[in-house]
Amino acid sequence: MKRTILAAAAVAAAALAAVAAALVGPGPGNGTASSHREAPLISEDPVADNTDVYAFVSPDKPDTVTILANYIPLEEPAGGPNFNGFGDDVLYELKVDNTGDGDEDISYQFRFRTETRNPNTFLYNTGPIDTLSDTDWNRPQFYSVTRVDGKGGGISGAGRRTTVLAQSVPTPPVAIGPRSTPNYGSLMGAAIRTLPGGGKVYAGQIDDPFYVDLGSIFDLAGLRPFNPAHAIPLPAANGVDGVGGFNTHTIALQVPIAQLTKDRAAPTGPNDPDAVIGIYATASRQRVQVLGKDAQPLRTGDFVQVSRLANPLVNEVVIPLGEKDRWNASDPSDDAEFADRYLAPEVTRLENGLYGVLDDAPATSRDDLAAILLTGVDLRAVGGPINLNFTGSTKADLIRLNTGIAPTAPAGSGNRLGVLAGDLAGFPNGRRLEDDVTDIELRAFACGYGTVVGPVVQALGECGGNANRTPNNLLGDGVDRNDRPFHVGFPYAGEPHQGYEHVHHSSVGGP
Amino acid sequence: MEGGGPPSTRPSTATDMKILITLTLVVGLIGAALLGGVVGESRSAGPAAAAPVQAEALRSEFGSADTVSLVGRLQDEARARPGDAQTNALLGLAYAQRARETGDAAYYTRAEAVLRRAHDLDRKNVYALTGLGGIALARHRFADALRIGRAAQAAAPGSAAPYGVVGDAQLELGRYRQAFATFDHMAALKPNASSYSRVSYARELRGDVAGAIASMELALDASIGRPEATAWTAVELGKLHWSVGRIAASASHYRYALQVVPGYVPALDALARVEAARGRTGRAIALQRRASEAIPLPGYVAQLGDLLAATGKGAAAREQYALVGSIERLQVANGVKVDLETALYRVDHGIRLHETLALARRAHAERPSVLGDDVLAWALARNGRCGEALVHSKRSLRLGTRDAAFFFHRGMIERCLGRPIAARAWFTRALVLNPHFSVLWSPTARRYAS
Repeated sequence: MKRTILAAAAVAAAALAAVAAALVGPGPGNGTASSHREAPLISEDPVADNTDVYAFVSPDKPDTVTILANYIPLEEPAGGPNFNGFGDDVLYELKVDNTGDGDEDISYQFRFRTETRNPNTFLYNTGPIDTLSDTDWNRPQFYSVTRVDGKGGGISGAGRRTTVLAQSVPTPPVAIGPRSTPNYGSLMGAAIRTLPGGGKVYAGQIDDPFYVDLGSIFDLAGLRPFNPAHAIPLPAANGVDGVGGFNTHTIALQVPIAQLTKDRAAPTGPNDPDAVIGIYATASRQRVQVLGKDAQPLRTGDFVQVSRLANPLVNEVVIPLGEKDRWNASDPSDDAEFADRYLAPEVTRLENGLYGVLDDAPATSRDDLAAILLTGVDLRAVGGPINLNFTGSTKADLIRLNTGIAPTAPAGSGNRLGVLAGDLAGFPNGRRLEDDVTDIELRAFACGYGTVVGPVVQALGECGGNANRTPNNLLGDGVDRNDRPFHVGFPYAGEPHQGYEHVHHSSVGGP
Repeated sequence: MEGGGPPSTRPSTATDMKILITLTLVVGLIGAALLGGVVGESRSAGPAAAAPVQAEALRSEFGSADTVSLVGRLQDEARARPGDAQTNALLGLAYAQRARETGDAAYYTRAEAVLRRAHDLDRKNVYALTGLGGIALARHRFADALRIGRAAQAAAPGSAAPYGVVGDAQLELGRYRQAFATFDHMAALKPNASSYSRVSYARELRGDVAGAIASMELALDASIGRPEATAWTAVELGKLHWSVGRIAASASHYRYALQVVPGYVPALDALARVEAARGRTGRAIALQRRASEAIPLPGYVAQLGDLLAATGKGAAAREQYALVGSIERLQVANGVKVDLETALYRVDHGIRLHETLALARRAHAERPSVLGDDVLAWALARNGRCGEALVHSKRSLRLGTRDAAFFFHRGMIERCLGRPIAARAWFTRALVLNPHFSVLWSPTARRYAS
């Protein structure tokens, strides 16, 4: 039992890191310049923390791909007076690999700059903010968008082509309330800008589109609908969206597919060899050295990646606590070194241990999970008609999107179970806002793939001969949709909750 | 609800007035946010009541950090699951945070016990090891901290935090080359507020104040979204400006810290020095009293005594000085080593100088840092042993540190050695760098410099 409790702690690792950050706080300094001062040992950095990445063929504009990279976890809408924004010293990047080697070929770089309109006040605003140029808004933030073609990290590099696509693009203010930000929708709309060549961009606060029962899952991997079957049984209950009523900040980008593929052309169909692209997002901060000379050019120099994200929940449930800093600094092309973690996932052991009712899935040699998360899957390998999203043998944590698979529903209306339900335009082929990645991954980890995918995984020789175990194929946290509706048009995410009035812990979905 | 700034401040200019209005507004806003939090909590008492304390704490991290209630909930959790390493580690970290918030060193004793239990339950738990390392640092047991930090590095080679424990310990043990390399590694692995502030400190020790400010500004950006960390970083940034005499810039950073965390005690303490420098001793005393009553650290209390003494309130000053000794005894009882701090305090105040020299020698042997050398030099000088003092003064300046107190001590040593020209040059250097470096000694420096 002790072992499984420890495993539960591993599931909650993301939450624990944040707790520790609150606790390993700094102490008061001493009087003299050279006496010991208690600087913080662990520092969470929410503005440089990727929360989720979404990538899908835009349903309302199917010749384009939309990528949303979200930062700042569980942003409390009533965050005043210290309202969140992007970090002015952070290099934000949305990266695309179109050659299957796990290394980005295209990077969209975003740099932010906060202006202080009234230096005599620390207040965010001194009156209603009616437009993006309203003088009552004291701390507007602007950004630049730069496309970099070629491999390599950092802000510049030999052999890389850099194109500035936009400068001084405004972000909307955060949603404060009916007095400060009365017409939020119009502010959000005004902040959408067109990019040269047919793209669109938006950066700002949104309702966090992720939905998951954090409260129950952090409580010994509890799933409320399955409460009676848990090792510590409770009455069954509806799921509660732990992210409900919280905001996040997004960088949303819509780009014609032909600007992202290797052959610079729209795919001819799902089996076009250049149709599948790999996507991830990062945040980097400037590297400093004690003897360095970086005092003057503050916003240039070497950057070190401090956060990266592609597939959901990998950072939380696959990478162990002591390895997170290194994993976040590493490149997806080097993910082979973490492959063992995918093959023997803690979550599967946890599910087997805590839910006696489940048909125990193999907890080692899970090549199916490694394939889904690290290489993609080619359905033709088992006699299927198409390549879903296989990019080759290189193991890299990327969101793999087959741009030759057309959208199946308006934004927000796809089947929440995506490919598991036969909706090939959903996760793990890319990731849409509505995809229920928690339920999909819970079922995948438990070899409860369902009737569509189960036979495929079985044909690949995985899951010990049964990839559609019951009741594993019904697993879920009971939260089946987001607390706010999505928009049918770019940037698709819902308006942020305002600080003045918002509700957390909304109960969504059924047992 | 505490106010955001000096409460007795009367607006003297339009700008001050504006700042006051802003403060009032912000305090109101904070109150509203707290109220919102309370309402939210009672609302969540239904289905989410089963949510464990970890998730609760995760959410509260972005609100006002209420460590008291967090401690209570973690205690419940630890009672329910005594064998869970992570719960014990978090409880230990929460106790350590209470120690920082209250200045009560007894929390370190409780923290250590719980963190040791966590470590015994899971030898690889990086929070338990980092927490134990942090406590050793806070207790000024730097050799212990170095050992624990190394163990943490071995347990979690991909983590940046253990580098902070190791580097801080190396720094205080006077192993500067190693410490700087450790900080460089830490910043290369994870540029964040923890590593930026350490690189800043290292640069400050090397006399590179501009570089220290640049790195601390990066730390400030990396603290966005965490009010306590933002306030701490802003105060450190203010102190860097203060160290080179930029009073207005330092005050602006302290006020910002108070905007972000109303009543933030280190900012009150720092702001008291600003008020004293501006000749507003009454306000300085009021602020220093608030700071020392909120967190009775020896440094805060001694500074209050110095301010009272400087305004001729000898009896009130002696009360504070008496308190310094009691607090230090409490710290020692809870495992904190205060030899170096006690020695500096006693030398500054002329208390049992002969005995204090022996204390300074012991402290220096344990902590051969530039501060260790400076305090020993100052103790030797005040005992009339100025030749030996000069050796240690030179060592205290071996990194190029620009510290007005170090310069002043050197001036006193040169004066004692009968070298008035050199002495005047050092006094002048101290005053040019920071004319208000010490309530106690700046007047002496001014007298001897002319």
